[in-house]
Amino acid sequence: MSEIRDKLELELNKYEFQTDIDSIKNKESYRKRKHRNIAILLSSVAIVFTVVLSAIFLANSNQDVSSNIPSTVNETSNSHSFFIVASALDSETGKPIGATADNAEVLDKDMIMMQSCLSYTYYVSGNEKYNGGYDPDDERLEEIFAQEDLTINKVFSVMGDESMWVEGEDIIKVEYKTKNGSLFKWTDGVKRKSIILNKEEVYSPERVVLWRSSEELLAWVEEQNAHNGPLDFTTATKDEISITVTFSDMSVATRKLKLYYNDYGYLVVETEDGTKYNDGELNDYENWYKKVYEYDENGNPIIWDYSGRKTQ
Amino acid sequence: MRRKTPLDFDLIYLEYKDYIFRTSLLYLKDYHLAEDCTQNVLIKIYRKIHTFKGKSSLKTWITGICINTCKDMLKKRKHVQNIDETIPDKSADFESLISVTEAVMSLPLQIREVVILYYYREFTMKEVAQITHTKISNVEYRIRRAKTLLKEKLGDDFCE
Repeated sequence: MSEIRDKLELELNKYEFQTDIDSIKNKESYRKRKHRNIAILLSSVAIVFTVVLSAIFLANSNQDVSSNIPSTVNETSNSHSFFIVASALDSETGKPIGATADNAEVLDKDMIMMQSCLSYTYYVSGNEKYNGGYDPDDERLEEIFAQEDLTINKVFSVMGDESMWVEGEDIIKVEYKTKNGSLFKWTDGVKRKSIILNKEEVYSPERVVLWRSSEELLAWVEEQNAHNGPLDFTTATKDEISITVTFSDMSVATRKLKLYYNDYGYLVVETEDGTKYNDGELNDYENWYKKVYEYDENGNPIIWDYSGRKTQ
Repeated sequence: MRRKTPLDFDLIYLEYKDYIFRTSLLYLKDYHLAEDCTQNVLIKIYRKIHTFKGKSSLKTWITGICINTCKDMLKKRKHVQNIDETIPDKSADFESLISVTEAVMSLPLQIREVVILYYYREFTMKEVAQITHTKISNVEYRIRRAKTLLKEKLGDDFCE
């Protein structure tokens, strides 16, 4: 049988392997680099995954601890929570300015904001020296208000809107009630004393409700126009809104909000624990809109952190 | 026998590259597949050379890697075609192929395997059993079967 071996040797010896040794070594080096890169990539992914999981875990823990601590009144003993979310609306699009409540981060916070204020201008007539329009911060207004022969008309415009909706866990029903004013569903514009949203309506465009102090506010405006002095917002219409939420396990929770105008025409929202939102000062609406369009270092709109007060 | 000095891949490459290629060629019956196989075997040797402890001969170790790599490549290729049923490649690379090589290539895989190792590479039956992970009795049977088949193909002169 050695003849077979010899014959095979003879026949096969003409075939030689042509690939050079450097090519072999390079392929192995490339493989090592590739494996190292994959290992680094997998390690990075694992680290990022761990960090994200930790962050989610911590966020959930914090949410459990802090959710609705300020003022949720649970009428039955339950662990549910909900958030009242409100925002100024874009006058052209009718959509909330800045972030919407679809952003899950909103749920980390206790958001009650009705960013609305009455902007106004004094129009003076009856004396050529004073005739003209004056902004609320005009220094000449004190002198004008001291004149008895002048006619001073106040022209109002509303900045922002009083839209609100709720966010939270397993909500199947929301009932809004107002004590003095009116409520409007965002979609139908029909005025009511109370509005009930059921199930799918709760998390749809139907969920947005607007508060209007309506006739009382108009009456106040007319009354203010009847005298020449400065506006007295302490006499402006006030209201209370209660929001009752029913959860899927039929437990119920209620929050009550006080609404009133501060000295500068801002519609302040005060919660049960005395926290005031939108408590702005003169010309704060300029800052207000600036705030709306500001973003934090993570690129998230900071509208939700804005209380309406001047930046310290 | 324990080796006390590190193996030099460059020397192994020079000494075994054609040995591996020709063994692969006979086993796989495909020139280009044999090239790929040889490259893979050499890469494996380059990668694993530090793990060789000298418990067997270097030739046995390398041949074991070669046979296992050939088997792996056949498994992969079987997804495309049943290579054991194909005739030897008659491309330009094999234009001068002559009868003995062709006769060995035409043998069933398990028979061809022992012919390559026992006759062509001159391993003992025990070593063939070790490399192919089979019993010596199986190797003996396959060698007997190989003789019979080769006689039929090459005539009695070759198998005496």
